[in-house]
Amino acid sequence: MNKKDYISAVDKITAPKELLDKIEALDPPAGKKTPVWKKVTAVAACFVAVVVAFSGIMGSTLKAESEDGADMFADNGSYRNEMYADDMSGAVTDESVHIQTKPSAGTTSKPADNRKIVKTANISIRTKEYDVFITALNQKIEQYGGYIEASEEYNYSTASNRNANMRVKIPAESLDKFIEELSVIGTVTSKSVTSSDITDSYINVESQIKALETEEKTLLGILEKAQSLTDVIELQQRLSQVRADLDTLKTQKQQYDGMVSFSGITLDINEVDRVVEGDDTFFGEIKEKLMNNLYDLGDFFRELAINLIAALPYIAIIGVIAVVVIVIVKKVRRR
Amino acid sequence: MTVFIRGKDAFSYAFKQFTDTVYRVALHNTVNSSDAEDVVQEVFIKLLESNKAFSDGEHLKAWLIRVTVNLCRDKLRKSNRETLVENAFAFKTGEEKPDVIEAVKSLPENYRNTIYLHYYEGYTAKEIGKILDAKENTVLSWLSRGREALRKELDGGFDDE
Repeated sequence: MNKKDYISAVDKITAPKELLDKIEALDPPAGKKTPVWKKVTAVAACFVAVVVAFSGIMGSTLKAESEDGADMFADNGSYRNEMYADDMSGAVTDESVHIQTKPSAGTTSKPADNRKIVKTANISIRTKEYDVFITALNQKIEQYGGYIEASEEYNYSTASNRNANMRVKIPAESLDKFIEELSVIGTVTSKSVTSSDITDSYINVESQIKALETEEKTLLGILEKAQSLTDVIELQQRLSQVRADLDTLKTQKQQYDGMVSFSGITLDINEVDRVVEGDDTFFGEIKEKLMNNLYDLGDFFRELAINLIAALPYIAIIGVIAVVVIVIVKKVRRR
Repeated sequence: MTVFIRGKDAFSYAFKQFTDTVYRVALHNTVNSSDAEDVVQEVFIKLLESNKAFSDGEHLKAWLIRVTVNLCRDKLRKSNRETLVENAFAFKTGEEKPDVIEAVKSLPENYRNTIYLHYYEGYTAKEIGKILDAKENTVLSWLSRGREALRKELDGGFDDE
């Protein structure tokens, strides 16, 4: 028995169907918010009923408005649909009004060429000339209309070992070109590009915005005709809730747009003394290892020389002491 | 930090992607599957109520795992049990091998979670440290002790071969 047995045993564990159903039922949140929502909906429904009754008397002038309302039901998510439909069936008695719940528009899928893809890239780069590289990099970023989102630079003890982490944003359509350019100005040692599809979330946000906008319009229409103060207050409460939700969703949509139109690149830039080109063949590896060792050996002698010279003051002092000691010892022996 | 998902979006994403992960973690940390199912539901309720913003799917996943482990710990504490499994290595008649899941479950909490997160989910010690709020070295020692314990009990153990 080993790791593989464990992995295959865990693989067999999947959430049971009843559990999935229970969790799915949690969405939309069936918590404390629903009663308020229902209550306001009921009030709204009553108003629509009044409006409808009014329209019966006034003629067909207001018909357009109730149709607008019907659209709203169609554009909302399916669960809201049902809620509206239930409340309406209790409130509306005038049978001449048909409120049809059309199939939800939110679920229609968009064509493939309209998909919202978020691209991100992780790139490690080595360079011998750090400062030149950074200047060239900045130029390229500017050239492609991108910008640096964050940048950290580390400086280790020796000057030739600088290291920087950068998060760069580049317009999505020029991502590939930009990466190509990078390998010209530096040596790319690893590169990964990932795409994630946020089309579903995007469409979801879009349709929620549409639904809320329709609701806002309808609420405003009802508000104009509201007469009692409590109704006005309740409608306005709902209205401000709708507007707050709209704001949040619109911000989210903007964020999505930003993520789609600009690709994020994480750059790991390392300054090295020598750029080693990867060579996977037998002799290539030997050559690389040999070169590394020779380089290290050279480095060792260089360090040795530096340390010896740096230690001269100590050596001088020790030398003087040694001379003094020898002289004393010789004098003592002569006696 | 850019906000990637939150609220209901996070919920539906988590539901599609990570329900099995949450259930597996829960099953590793509860006595039986019905407790595990309760915990999974609580985790998703927490996700909805918190309306927390997540920077990406991995962030969400790590959060879910952490919450699951914590909720399981609370549940176990309430039921006043010390171990999940009475005796994983008492061979049942007719059964050739001890159940490997039960064996992992018989380990102390941190050991079993580390084993699961490393061997099944493929997290590194550093990442596990972030999820379980421990130092990388601590995680490494949990991993090696957990592996050691399993090696003693299971034929072949958990070597990295």
